Amino acid sequence: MSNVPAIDIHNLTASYERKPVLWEIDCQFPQGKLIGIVGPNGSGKTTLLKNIMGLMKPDSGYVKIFGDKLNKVRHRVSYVPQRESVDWDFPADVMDVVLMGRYNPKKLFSRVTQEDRDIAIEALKRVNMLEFSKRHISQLSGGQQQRVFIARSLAQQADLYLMDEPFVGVDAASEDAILSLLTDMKNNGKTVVIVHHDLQTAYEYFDYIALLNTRLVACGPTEEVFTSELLQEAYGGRLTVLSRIGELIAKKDFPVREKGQKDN
Amino acid sequence: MASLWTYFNHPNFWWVLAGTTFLSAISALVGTFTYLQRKSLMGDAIAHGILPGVAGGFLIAGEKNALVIMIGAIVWGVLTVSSIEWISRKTHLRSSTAMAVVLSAFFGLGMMLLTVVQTSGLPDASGINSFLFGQAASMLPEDLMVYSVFAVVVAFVLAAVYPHLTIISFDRATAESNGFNVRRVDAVLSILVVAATAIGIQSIGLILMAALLITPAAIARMWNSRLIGMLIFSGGIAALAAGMGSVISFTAPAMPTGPWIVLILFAFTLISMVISPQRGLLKRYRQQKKNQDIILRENFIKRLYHQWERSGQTAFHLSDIEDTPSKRTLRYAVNNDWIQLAGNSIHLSEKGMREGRRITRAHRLWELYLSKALRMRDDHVHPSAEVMEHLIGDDLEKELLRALDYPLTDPHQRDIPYEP
Ligand SMILES: Nc1ncnc2c1ncn2[C@@H]1O[C@H](COP(=O)(O)OP(=O)(O)OP(=O)(O)O)[C@@H](O)[C@H]1O
Ligand SMILES: [Mg+2]
Repeated sequence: MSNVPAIDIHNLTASYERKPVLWEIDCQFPQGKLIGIVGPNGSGKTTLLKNIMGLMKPDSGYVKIFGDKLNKVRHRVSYVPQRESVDWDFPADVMDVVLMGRYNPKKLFSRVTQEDRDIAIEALKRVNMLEFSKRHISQLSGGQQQRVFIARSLAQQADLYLMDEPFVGVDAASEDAILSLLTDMKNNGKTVVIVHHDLQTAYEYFDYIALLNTRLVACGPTEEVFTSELLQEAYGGRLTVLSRIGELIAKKDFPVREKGQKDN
Repeated sequence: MASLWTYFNHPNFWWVLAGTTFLSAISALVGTFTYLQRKSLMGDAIAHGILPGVAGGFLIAGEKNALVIMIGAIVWGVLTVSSIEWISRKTHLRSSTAMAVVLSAFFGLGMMLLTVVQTSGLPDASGINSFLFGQAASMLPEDLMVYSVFAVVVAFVLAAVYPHLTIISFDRATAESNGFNVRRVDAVLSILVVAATAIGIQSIGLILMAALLITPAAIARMWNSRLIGMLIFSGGIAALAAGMGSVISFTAPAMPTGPWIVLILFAFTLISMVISPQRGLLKRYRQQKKNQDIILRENFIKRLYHQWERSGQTAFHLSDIEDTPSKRTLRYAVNNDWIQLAGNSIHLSEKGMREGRRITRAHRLWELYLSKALRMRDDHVHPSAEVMEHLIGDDLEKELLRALDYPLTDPHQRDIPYEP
C-alpha cells in the first residue's frame, strides 16, 4: 500500500442553487483506515460525499482519489447512498440488486455472467443475507436493506468504499454485523469512509475522523479530533456569519472565486 | 359470428394482426422503463407533441406515406423533448408544467396543420384522421413494414442499454457514481419513447398512445415483482390488447382502434386489481376472511378456557356459552381436537385447553406490556389486547416474556397462565 492519501480534498467549496453549504474544505484521508465524516444534521456530510463521488460540481477546489482524477480510478471506488434515496418498491429481488454492482457502464449488450453471480453470492454471504437472495427488496427490514446495499457495493470489488449513514434505521444486531464487516474490510487493506452523525458511537467506530459543520472543524486521528473544544465547535450551534453570507451569495448571484483565479 | 370468418380471409387481416401486436409489445417495453422512472407524463407529452410532425410529414410527402410521416413524427418528438428540457432548465417551472406548456402548444399547432391537410385536396387527406385515434384495419403491409423496421431498431437499442436503464431506474446516484453516463442514457430513453410512440400512431393513434406506454406496465407490476417478468408480461398484455383491438377494427371499420385498445387495457387493469396475486383485492379479501376466522375460533376456545378457569369444569352445554359459535368454528375446533362434541354438549380437550391458555397468556402479557412499557392506564389496555392476542406468535411471546421477566399476574391481578 502506498502512502498516497485515499482521498485528498483540496480547498473545496460547494453550493446548492448558489448557496454554499461547504466552505473551503481541505483534508486528506489515509488509506487502509475506517474513517468517519461526522457532524450534525445539515452540516454538509452528504454534500461532501457527493463531491467526492463527482455527483456534484464544486464551485472551487478539487478532489483526488488515490492521487488521481476520479474518472481514472472510478473502478476502485464504490458508493453506498443513503437508504431512503431509492424506491424499495422497485421490481427486483435481493440478488437482482446485488448484481447491479456488477453492471459495466462502458459495455453495451452486457449480460450477467456466472462469474458475476458467484461474486454476488460471495458478497451476500459476507453480509449474512444469502438466505434472502430470492426475497423481494420491499420485504426486508431497514437493516437488511442496508446490508443488501453493502453487498452490492462489495460486489464491485473496490478499494475505497464511501457509505452514507449506513447505521440509520438499523437495529443493534445489524449494526454489529455491519461494523464487524467494515472492520474486516479495513483489515484487508480497504479504505472505508462512513458518514455518521452519532458522536457517541463515532469515537468507538472510527480510526480517523473529519469533523464537519459547513466548514471543516477538524480532520485527523480520532483521539486528536475528539477534544471537547472541537466537539463544541462542531456541535455547539451554527456559525451564523457563514450561513448569512451564504444567503447573500445566493441572492446576489456572487461568485465564490474571483474571475480567473484557479485552484491548483 | 359467421362473418368473422370473412375477415380472417381478408388479405390484410393477418398482416395487421401480426404487425399491431408486435408494435404494441415493443412500445410497452419502452413504456415499462418510463413507468419505473415515474415519467408517465412524458409519454403523454410526446404523444401529443408529435402531431405537427405527423401533419407536416403528410404535407411534405403530399400523400399518406408512412416513412415520411414516421420521420416527421420522430423529428418533432425529439424537438418536443428538448423543448421541455430547455424550458425547465432555463426557468423555475417544474418539468410537469413545462410539459403541459409544450404539449398544448404543439398540439394546437398540429391541429392547425391538420386542418391545412384536410382542406388541401391532397389524395387520401381524409385518412389523416386515422393518426389521431388509430385505424388498424386501414394499414397496408408497406406501412407495417416501415413501423416494424423502426420497432426492431427500438428493440435492439433496448437490449443494448437494458442494464443501464435498469440501474438508473432504481438508483440514479449509484449509477452515476459507478460511471454510468446518466444524462446520455436519459436522452436515449427519451428518443426510445419518441420512437415507441411514433410506431403506434396508425394502429392506436397518438391521442391514446400514452396509455399503451403506461397501462401495460402498471398491469404487469401487479403480477410481477421482478423487472424481467414485468417486461415480458407488459409486452404480452399489450400485444393481446392490440390484437383484440385489431380484430374489432376489422369487424367495425368505422370505429377507431385506439379507444378499443385502451378500453381493453382498462378492463385488464380492473381485473388485475381484483385478482392479481400481489396487491389484488380478492387476495386482501381472502386474507381478511381468514383473519376473521382465526379471531372467531380463538375467541371461542378462549371463552371455554375462561369458563374452566372460573368453574374447573371441562364439560359445557352449547347454550351456556356466550356468543354462540358458528358451525364453521365448531367444525374447526372438533377437527383439530380442541373439543369433543356430542349433541349439544362440549368437552374441552387437553389440546383445546393448551390453546385457550396460550391465547389468554398472550392477552394478559400484552396488557402488562402496555401498562409497563407504554405506561398506559390499566383500564385502557384491554381493547388492544383483544386484537393482539391473535397476532402474538411464539417468537413474540418469548420476547414479551423476556422483556417482562416472566411475570405472574397481569395489570388486573389475574394469573398469567403458563404451561404446567
Ligand atoms: N438538493 C438540495 N438543494 C438545496 N439545498 C440542499 C440540497 N441538499 C442539501 N441541501 C442543504 O445543504 C445543507 C447540507 O446538506 P447535507 O445533506 O449535505 O447535510 P448532511 O450533513 O448530510 O445532513 P443529514 O445528517 O441530515 O443527512 C443543508 O442545509 C441542506 O438544507
Ligand atoms: Mg446526509
